[in-house]
Amino acid sequence: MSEYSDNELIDRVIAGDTDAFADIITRYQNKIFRYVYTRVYDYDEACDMTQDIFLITMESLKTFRKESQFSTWLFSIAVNYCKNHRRKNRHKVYSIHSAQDETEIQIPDIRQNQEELVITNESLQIMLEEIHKLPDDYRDILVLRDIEGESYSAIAQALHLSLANVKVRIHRGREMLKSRLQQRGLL
Amino acid sequence: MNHIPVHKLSEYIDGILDAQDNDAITSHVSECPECRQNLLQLQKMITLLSSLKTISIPATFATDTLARAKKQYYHKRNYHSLRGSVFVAAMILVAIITMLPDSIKHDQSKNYMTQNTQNNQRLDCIIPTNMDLNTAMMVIQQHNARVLDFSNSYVIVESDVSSFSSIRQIINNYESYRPNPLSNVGITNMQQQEKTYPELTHANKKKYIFRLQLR
Repeated sequence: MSEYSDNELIDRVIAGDTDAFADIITRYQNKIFRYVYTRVYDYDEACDMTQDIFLITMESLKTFRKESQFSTWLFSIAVNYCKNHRRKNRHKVYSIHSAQDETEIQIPDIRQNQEELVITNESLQIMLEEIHKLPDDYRDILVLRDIEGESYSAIAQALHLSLANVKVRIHRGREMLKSRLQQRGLL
Repeated sequence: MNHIPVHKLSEYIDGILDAQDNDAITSHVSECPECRQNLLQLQKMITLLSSLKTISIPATFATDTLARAKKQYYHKRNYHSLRGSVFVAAMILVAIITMLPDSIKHDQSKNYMTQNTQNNQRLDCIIPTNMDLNTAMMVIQQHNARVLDFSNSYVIVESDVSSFSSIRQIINNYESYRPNPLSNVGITNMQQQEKTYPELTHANKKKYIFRLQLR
């Protein structure tokens, strides 16, 4: 991973060193991918969409005014892209089961000893399904907060929400997901 | 004892409560099994969620994306330079045509018009008339119609609806005159059946192209 800051890499790309963009991609690819993947729940499509997001980002780099964190700006692009994608593909119905059958996601088998909590591939698959089924407003915020570990203020900036709104959505999203996971016998 | 609302537990987990609230919840959950259970379930769910961070994109993603980005960049650059070249070539062509002698330009223009009207067969109707070419040209000019093509035996005209009606009216009146040797017009009356014009195929058209069949 490059030792340059985001802004230094951006300056290099704008100056014509397109290879510097590879460092930016490497730095944020998984974060953006996970966000997209939890939305569409189709591995290949999520890869394509993530690629499009980075291409759009590269083309728009000159418009980044460095008033916010680059990661926040990048995430805003991803959010807008996904919203537009949803609008364009409104007729398309994503099948959870076919997506599962087609792609085997490589999830390492993590076992943790926290109150006898054992995380298996099966439980992660259920988590994925349930988070995918959440309304957009709650899913986006839980992905940012609980998967990516973003702060409340970064989430507010990326999603253009007030801090109070972020708090409410995190709480409601967690409650909704918790009740669904209870029904699936995961909690 | 009042139970702690779930949103407070959620904020407690995230560590965003002030010290007083934080201590109150710590002490409450140690005594209240129901709130403790709620807290543990929330913590378990968040741990499960955070474990989704292990999902990752294929290792070649960055390389592939950069390659595609470069391809797009160069494609765009080539497109812009090609567009520039086409523009320059078009400007040169316009300059050459402008500098050509008038006679060549007119010939080219007439050829184009003939081709256009003959190949496309866009004629809406043929109007036979006893007018000669000069008279027909004058009538057409008076009604702001456009001559697309002409010879000694016909004139192909493009006009709007009102010009078309006016020209037809003029021709009707013209045909009804008796030959007048003093007027020097030299009219020869046509047969009655030749004055019935074919119906237009598109009555609601804004433009008509018709042929005046001269005597």
